Amino acid sequence: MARILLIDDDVAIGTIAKRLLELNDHMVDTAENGAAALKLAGRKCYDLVITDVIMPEQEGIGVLAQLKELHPHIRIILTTGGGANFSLSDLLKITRFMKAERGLAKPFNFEKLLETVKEVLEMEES
Amino acid sequence: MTLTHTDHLMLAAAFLTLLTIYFTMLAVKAQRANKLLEQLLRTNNEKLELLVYERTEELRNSEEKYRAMINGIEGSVYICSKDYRFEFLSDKLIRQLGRNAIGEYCYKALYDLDNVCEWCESDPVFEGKSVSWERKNQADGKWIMAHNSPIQNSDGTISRQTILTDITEMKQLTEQLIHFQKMESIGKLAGGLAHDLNNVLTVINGYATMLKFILPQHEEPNQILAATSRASSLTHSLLAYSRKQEMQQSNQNLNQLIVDVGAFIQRVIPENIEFAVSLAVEPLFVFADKVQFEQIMLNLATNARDAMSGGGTLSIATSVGSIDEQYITAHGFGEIGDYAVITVSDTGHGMDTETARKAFDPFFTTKEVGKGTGLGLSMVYGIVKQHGGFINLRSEPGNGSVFSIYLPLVAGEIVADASQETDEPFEAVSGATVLLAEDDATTRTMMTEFLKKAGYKVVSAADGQDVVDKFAAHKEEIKLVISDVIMPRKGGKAACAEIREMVKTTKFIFISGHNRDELRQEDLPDPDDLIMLKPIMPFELLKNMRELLT
Repeated sequence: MARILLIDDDVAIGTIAKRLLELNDHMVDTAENGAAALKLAGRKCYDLVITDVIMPEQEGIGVLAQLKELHPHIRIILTTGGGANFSLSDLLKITRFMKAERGLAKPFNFEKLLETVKEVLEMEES
Repeated sequence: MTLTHTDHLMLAAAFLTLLTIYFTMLAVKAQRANKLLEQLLRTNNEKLELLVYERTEELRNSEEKYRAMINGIEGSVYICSKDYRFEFLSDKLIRQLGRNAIGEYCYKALYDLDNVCEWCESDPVFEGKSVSWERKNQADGKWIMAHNSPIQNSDGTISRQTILTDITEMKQLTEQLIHFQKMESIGKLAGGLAHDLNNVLTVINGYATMLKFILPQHEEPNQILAATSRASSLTHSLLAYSRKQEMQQSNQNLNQLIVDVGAFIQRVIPENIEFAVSLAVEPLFVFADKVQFEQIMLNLATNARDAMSGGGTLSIATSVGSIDEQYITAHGFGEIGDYAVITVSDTGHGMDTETARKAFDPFFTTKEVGKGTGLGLSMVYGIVKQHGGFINLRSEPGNGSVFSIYLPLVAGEIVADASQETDEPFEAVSGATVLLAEDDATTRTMMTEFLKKAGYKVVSAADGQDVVDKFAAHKEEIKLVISDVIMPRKGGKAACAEIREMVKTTKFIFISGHNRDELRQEDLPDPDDLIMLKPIMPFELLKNMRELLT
């Protein structure tokens, strides 16, 4: 079991991912934006954050930097809508820059997400 | 005093003399006057002649000017009388007809008709009105535009002046423009639709996955998942058509691509269809997504198969072709340059003009309901466009179809340019040796050639372990390693670590072509090392190399 913080402004996708992760015995909090995520992270400890890189209120990168500061050992899975304004090369840059464990391009299928979560959680402390 | 006889005589003589003198003087005067008169007349005459000459010259100039104007008109110009006999023909028309047909009937000379053309039967021009029309000449399929206007003759009659212009090209271009705009807007629509549909599918996929966990013994969630994945591949086709799909392009030898995909094609065509491949002698490098290219070829091949249910020949050929201005004018598309050309032709039932025109439209299909999605060729079109290429279709009912795909040629051009480039930032650091690690043989050969032409000494390696070994063998010379991120046997990052164990200061440029949907941090090199994403711009690479080496 892991404590997971899920940040996605798409409520439908957030809900599905939350329920799926809970079905796999994880404890999940969801936040629709960076500010809400930081508020949660101020009160609770998380093992893993899954976040969309693009969010309306606060830039995903800024949020990640602050999260890392709060919880240095937190593991990161970045996701992206891969829309017209965001290419996979941007995902590569950010994944590398933030030292995120994984970068996933949307639309992902949820089995892939579960697999990735499992893989990241099983990774040894570096 | 009395006068003697002698005196009389003398007087008379004197008088006579005077008279003679007088008359002589008169005569002289008259002569002079005559001369003057003559001179006057001559001058006037000369003036008149000059005037006439000048006027004639002006008229000639004016005539020449108007003739030049008439002959300068793009189209053919003629004037005919009310009974449709030629009164004047422009040079162009004379050349066209092969003779000066003055006096002949225009309908006979132009269209080989025995009566007035139907569109001239009620001709308002002879009532003083101008009239224009366009029509397609059934004999040669050319579009003609005619401007007719009345000319008032001095005797009160009216003649008709006609300018005939060939507007076939303009008509074709307009048609192509409309077609292009239509394709553009359908593309936008399809792209938008596919994007939204993808979101919906993500949700369905999500809940189905959830069901799988809730109902582990049930097969139904798997059925939903299978259906969503089929729907996903449809939206992918749509996205490919609207050019919104991410591509994974690399330098590919077109001939090799055809050989590879040929094996697949062989499997999808039945025995009664002969399969012929003819490849260009020289390797043709194109910057292409291999998977998408296979999609194109398989699509064209299955279409060809379906068009030849009774058997026939499917031929695929590659060649070098160039698109020049003439080509662009004739076809209404293209960009000047050298291209690798792939021709896929069949001997099937072919299509009529109308079908051929619509062939690339999404959802247009001639196949039975349920057999085709109508997305195949539109996807082909989208992919070719996304590759910066062009596709052309020639077909006639009963005479098969020929698809020609033009993809921009890459390798040769790039290498030639690099060797001529003299700008300092791109120049090779003299005598420098670089180690190039790339697992794809085609790309490796091309890059090695390119770097050598640019002035570097190149040692090349085929995988992660090979890089480490080659480095160990040449560690005195090698200052810079250019390495793929993901390679067999050992990743770029691990190879880099081992190499830096040997020589700490070794510089690295990483190259990543792996736009996969999952990025793994452990594959990615340190943020301090440079990563360049494929497609690699040759000059950018040279510039980065120089910066690291100096």
